[in-house]
Amino acid sequence: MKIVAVNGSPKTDGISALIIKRMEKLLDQQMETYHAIRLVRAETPQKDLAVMLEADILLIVFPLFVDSLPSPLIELLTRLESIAHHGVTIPRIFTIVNGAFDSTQTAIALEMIEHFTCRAGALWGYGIGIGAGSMLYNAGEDWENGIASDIHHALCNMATAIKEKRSGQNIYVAPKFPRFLYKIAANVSFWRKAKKNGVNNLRTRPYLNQSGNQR
Amino acid sequence: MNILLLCEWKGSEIGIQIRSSIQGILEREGHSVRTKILNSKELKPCTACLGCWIKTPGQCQIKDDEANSIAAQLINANAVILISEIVYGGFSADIKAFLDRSLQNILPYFENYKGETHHPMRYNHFPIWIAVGYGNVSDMEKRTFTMLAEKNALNMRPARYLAVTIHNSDELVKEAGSIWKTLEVGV
Repeated sequence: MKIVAVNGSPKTDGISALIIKRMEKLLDQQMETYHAIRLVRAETPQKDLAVMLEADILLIVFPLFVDSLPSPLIELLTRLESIAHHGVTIPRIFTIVNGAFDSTQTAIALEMIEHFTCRAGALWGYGIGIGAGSMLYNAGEDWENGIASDIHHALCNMATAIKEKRSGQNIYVAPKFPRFLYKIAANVSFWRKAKKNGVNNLRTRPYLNQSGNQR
Repeated sequence: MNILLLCEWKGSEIGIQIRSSIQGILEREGHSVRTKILNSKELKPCTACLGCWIKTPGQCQIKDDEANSIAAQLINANAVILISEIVYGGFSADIKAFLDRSLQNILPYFENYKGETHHPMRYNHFPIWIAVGYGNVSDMEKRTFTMLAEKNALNMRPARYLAVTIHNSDELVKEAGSIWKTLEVGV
């Protein structure tokens, strides 16, 4: 069974890439991975799109951007839909989105992928919405135990569903980490990174007019 | 009232008609309307570098396109009206290319807001936010679009917001009242 991954993140080494690598382990196979941002900017993406559409499964992994999909991913999906309207079958879709602390904030993005699936006439597998995805940088190698165990479990179940070409219900998971500590850790991290850049005030308002007012 | 209209470059004839109608009515009423056509081919995609939070707070690091200038116009407008084809229940890639880059207008920190963890506002005021989505889409897609506008409002915290979904420019007449009401302008 051929499984192709689409990474909707602009980063090649971000959380989406980490999740794709983890899925490769669970699926026991290397996946050809295409970056949405590169495909939509490529002058001749036809060959890559053709390879993508030969797959049995398309695994779309992306970060939540302003409550929905990153722009290049929207563009890529519209191109795939347009190809589908020319009689090409789109592979079964599974998707994983990583977002803000509350995993349910990814629900709209998952719905959007479902709408794409419907419009493209593809089969829908299901989606996983991951909260506090950035915590996965700190999960180490062992996701089975520790803060990422619920995510590991959800990915294992998705890998099984993919192998069996089985659909399922969307699920929402997050690292086992308290909200108040997440906020403190993130806020300190922003402040530290800014300090390294020689920035002391993260609250500047560069677009206030000369009298310091808006409007 | 100072109103910013954000429209898509790839928009269909329907989108252009909706834009012309809204712009025409508002200008006839004496409002200052600035229209920006957004093009995902010209606006570079957000690289998620977080530079707009931790390197040059409040400004995107990509400076060779119009995103920073539009972000400044947005934050200084009284109201923003986005006119977008509904794509899978969300904004079109052109509109979203700018929204992804508008992260600069909120703060990096986290706080609890209405039971969820969100970023605080960078500025004291965020303009009235009106999302007009159009196209021949399903009721489910319309619902997703409305939910997306609500979710955006939780992050951006405009004084008022509205999501309108219409099939074509003829339906704009039916929804116009809610738009003027949200703007609090007498038309």
